[in-house]
Amino acid sequence: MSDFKHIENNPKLKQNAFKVPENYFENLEARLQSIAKEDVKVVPISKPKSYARVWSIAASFALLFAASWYFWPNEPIENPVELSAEDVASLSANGFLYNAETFFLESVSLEELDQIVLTENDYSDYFEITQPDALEDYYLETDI
Amino acid sequence: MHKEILVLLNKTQYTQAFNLVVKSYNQRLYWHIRRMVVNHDDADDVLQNTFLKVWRALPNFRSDANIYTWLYRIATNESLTFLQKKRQDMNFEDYANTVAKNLEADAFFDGDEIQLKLQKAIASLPEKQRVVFNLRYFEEMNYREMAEVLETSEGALKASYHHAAKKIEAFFKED
Repeated sequence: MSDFKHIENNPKLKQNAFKVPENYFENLEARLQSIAKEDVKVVPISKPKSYARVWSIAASFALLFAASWYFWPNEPIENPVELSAEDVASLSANGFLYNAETFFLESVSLEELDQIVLTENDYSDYFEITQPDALEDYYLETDI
Repeated sequence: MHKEILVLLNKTQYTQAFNLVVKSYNQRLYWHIRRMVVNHDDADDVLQNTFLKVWRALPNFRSDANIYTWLYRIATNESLTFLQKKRQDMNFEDYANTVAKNLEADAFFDGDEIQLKLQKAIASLPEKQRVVFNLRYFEEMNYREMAEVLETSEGALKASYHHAAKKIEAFFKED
């Protein structure tokens, strides 16, 4: 280290040996200060500019949720129940079950029945249609 | 100066604070960078990048930190990044020889023979040792401040300076 002391304590060596172009430092300050004017601030996409935008998005979602809740059809969900043969018989005996015939007779009055007049053609059409061979032709013709 | 800058930062007057930082530290940081990268044009580029980083980071500056060591840290990191990029295709010895040759032909180097020799010896040091040596030898920065700038322990810095001094001593003995 004794040899290095010769270097360390040499004032000549500590002097600045570099130069700069003429007037470099005179313009440097103004040039560096212009960085603040020229630099456009980079705003990361993930960071919104203000909370107003976040609140407006949150409010939109809340409104959408409230509207859908308000206007949604409010029907109870019916759970399907399996009925045993005894249940069906019991319900039927107590008048809780209707078959199609009972429903038809109860909902159509005798006056209305009198007004229903079936013509001969209606019968022939019915019998023709119910023939198995004629069914296919009927469906093709009537484009069902 | 440090207090004035902090007052402006507390008032969120960032442009005024930045202008004051530039006014107070532009020359000191230039010379620190110049000693690292040697060439004037390179030093000018690194200095601009340094102040651009300073401007962008200024609103996040912690008031309990020292602005002087914070600026030196940014300048040092910018210089090291620049040097690593510049010598990425060269081995360390080739790079040191190139720096030495360029220095001889540099119109902005005004040193005599012994000063040229010292610069060549410094160029032969690994980059981090070069920072430690320059801060201690030319800028006479104490180890506590150096530890803040380089974010390392004082003991590690003393060891690093000792190694750098030994290498420079050996370089002088060679010729």
